[in-house]
Amino acid sequence: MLFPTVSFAVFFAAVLLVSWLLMPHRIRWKLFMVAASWFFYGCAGWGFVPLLAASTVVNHFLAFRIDGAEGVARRRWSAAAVAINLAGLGWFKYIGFLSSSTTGIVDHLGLGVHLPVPRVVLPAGISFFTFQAITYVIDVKRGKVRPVGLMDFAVYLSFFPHLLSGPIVRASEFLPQIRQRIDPRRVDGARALWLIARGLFKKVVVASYLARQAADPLFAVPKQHAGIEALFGVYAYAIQIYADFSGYTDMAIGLALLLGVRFPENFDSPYRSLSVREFWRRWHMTLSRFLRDYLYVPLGGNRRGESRTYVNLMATMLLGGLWHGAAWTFVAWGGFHGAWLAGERAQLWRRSRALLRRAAAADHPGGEGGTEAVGSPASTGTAAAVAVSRRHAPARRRAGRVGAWLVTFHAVCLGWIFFRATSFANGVQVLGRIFARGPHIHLDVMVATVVVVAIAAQWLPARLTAPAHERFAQLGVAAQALCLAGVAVVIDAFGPAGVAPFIYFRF
Amino acid sequence: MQRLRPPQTSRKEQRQRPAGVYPAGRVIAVVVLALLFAALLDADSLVASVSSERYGTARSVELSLVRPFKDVSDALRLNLPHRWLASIGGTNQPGSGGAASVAVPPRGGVPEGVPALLGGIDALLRPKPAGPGSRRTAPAAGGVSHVAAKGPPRPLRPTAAAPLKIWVAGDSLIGMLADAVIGHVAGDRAVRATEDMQIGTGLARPDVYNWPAAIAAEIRDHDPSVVIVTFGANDDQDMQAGGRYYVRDSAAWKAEYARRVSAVMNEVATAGRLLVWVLVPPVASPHLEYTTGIINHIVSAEAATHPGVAVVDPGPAIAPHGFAEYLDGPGGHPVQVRDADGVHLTSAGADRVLPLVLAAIRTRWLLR
Repeated sequence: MLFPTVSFAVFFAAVLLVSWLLMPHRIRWKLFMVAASWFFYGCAGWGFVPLLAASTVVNHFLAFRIDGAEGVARRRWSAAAVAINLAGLGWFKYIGFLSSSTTGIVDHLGLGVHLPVPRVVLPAGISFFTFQAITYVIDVKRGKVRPVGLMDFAVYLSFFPHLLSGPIVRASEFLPQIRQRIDPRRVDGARALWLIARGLFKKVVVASYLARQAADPLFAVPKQHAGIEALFGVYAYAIQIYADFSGYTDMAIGLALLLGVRFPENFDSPYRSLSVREFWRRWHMTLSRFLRDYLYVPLGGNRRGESRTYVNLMATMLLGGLWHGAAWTFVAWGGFHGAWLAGERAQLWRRSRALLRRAAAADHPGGEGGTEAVGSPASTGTAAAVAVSRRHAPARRRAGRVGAWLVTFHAVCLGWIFFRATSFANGVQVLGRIFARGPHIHLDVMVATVVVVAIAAQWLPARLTAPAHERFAQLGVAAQALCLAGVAVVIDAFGPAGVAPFIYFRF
Repeated sequence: MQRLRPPQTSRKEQRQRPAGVYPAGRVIAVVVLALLFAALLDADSLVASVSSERYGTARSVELSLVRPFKDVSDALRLNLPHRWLASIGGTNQPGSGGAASVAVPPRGGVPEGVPALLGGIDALLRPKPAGPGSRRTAPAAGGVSHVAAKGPPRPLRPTAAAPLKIWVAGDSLIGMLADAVIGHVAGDRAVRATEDMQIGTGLARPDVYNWPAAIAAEIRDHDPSVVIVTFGANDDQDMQAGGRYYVRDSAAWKAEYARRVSAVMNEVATAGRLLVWVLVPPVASPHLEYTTGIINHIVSAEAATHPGVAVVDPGPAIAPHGFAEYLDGPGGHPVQVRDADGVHLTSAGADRVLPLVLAAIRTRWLLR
């Protein structure tokens, strides 16, 4: 049951009504919400509902064991919890990949052993609810969250607006909301409805159009495209995946808001980033912070020296890539981002050192002490370094920003090629076609326009849409309903027949 | 049972509620009204969407619920804005047969070699012993059977001036194969390949997508010399025609399905045109496997009486021992040939079927 379908609309209207009717009765509300979420999940495959239920019960049990233990036992229980969650994810998501890759390596060594490849169907949303379960047990171990009752935890893990594709909501964000009274007189309705309409438009119109007109044909048959046409095919995929995933997130946040629950933001105009580091602060933000807080920081983050920081960055991004899919193309995508982030980090450190050297030289003109400031950010040289930086910045910065944006956007697009490609060869072929000269290069003007407008929209200030928001918020019930119906008609008219699943559903 | 009451707030606090923040009742009213308005304004799509569901009680109940919306919408002409917008967008017209087709003319680039198939092409081209008792009516060694195909004795060579037009059409199962075919002929100015894939369609439900009409339109408008089709993966359902209801797997159902297959063959396989009909390969679901077995048998039987129809059974190439998601690749490495959904081909799977399709075409046309 996909969000942009009639069946989901009817399902949600019924859930919305019953949810608010039951809101004063907390236990009944929780029971109902779990039942509704499991029904929603069952529509994606009834065979997987027991898996979700098992994950709920096992993690609930483990959270209490972790909470009740101290010292080494606490660490062991939490390690066991993480291992169990990852084992489940590994079996369903990676067993085929591991088996085929291992066979390939073993075969390459001439041992000729072929491992069997079990037939395992990937349960929808397993990557997301597994990560949420991991955040819960680790936060319990860290003492950030107290274990909660089974019903509360079941609602948290299976709450249908975020069940299939996130955002990855932490227990500390979600549980307090459902454990206190949700005030039925203060529903952020206008924002929720705006988000749902915006998400529908992004997914059904923009993402579908670009996929069908540019991205899918390019990756299906790369050799039929060349030069700027192929380049715009890649740009189109960059916009498609953004519109697809951020559209889903908008809808998820809006639906949750209507039910009285707030989700964290997941996207913040990622294509306006001036560095890949900034991109990851704006793209799939809930995954980024998960990787940071539950992987990068525990690995040591940037606290163990420069070399170790690079290793940690690379490891984090490689695993982040693998999380997206069981294929070497995703590993390559993660590795590319890890390497780029490490490069940016190295550049940052180099600049800091240079600035500190100059600042120290300014503090001690003619002296040898300038080098002493290197690696001493706490020294008085820091303030001077900032001053030096500001003196040199103004003119260069403006030009530099454009260059930085161009480099970052194209670096991200380069990564997307391998993210989208069906194989390495496919990715290399697509990349090669960008530099190829073809006799029949045909750039679709409409595709190019949509791409350019979508990129430009990343800089659209919120104040531009604020008057429309306010006007919508002040409308009466019937007028608001009519506006929404009108938007639905436009989306349906311009969207293709049938709705393709969200890209992130398969992750 | 704990019953929680919302905290009391004063009128002043209510007045201070930020713009856009409403009581839940008002939000529910907006959502329900919006759905009702949308159902009226977009009644055509709503009815089309419900109509495309499988025949059965659920569909009948849903139709009885949504038809009044369409009646009101028609009477008050509330659906005109949607129709007008849809005509501008050129989308969302079920069964129109052209809106969603993807035509990809050949462009620059050198085609890559087709991956070698285990066992070789020749082995796959052995004549097929058609037998009604077998689940798969393909030959044991698999592949292509030119059932009653009586094409020209010598294959023709297409030229840039008179290019060979290939049209690949069918449900979602054809998608990867269409990509493989189009990719193979890309760069060959003597061949033009286009595709029309309609997800969730087949011959059982012309009300969802009218394939016979779409095929007739394509032949009338573009006159392809080779038509490659696959149908059946969505036809595991009851049918209706001429006021009659046909229950899946009944004798009447089989006869009606055979009539529809025959109609497609009659339409396409004329005037020297070659119809390559790709059977549905073994699938993971036993239920669907049973029905596609019936359908494949019907197609093979009909092809036997229609000259100019070549049947390609992809089973031996991608499911030699029944459905398998992975098969051994050239180096013995497992290769994923089917999607995890148990039905669709991966690109590697399509690459294995492609030589069979090309072999069928090469009986009439000289292809690279």
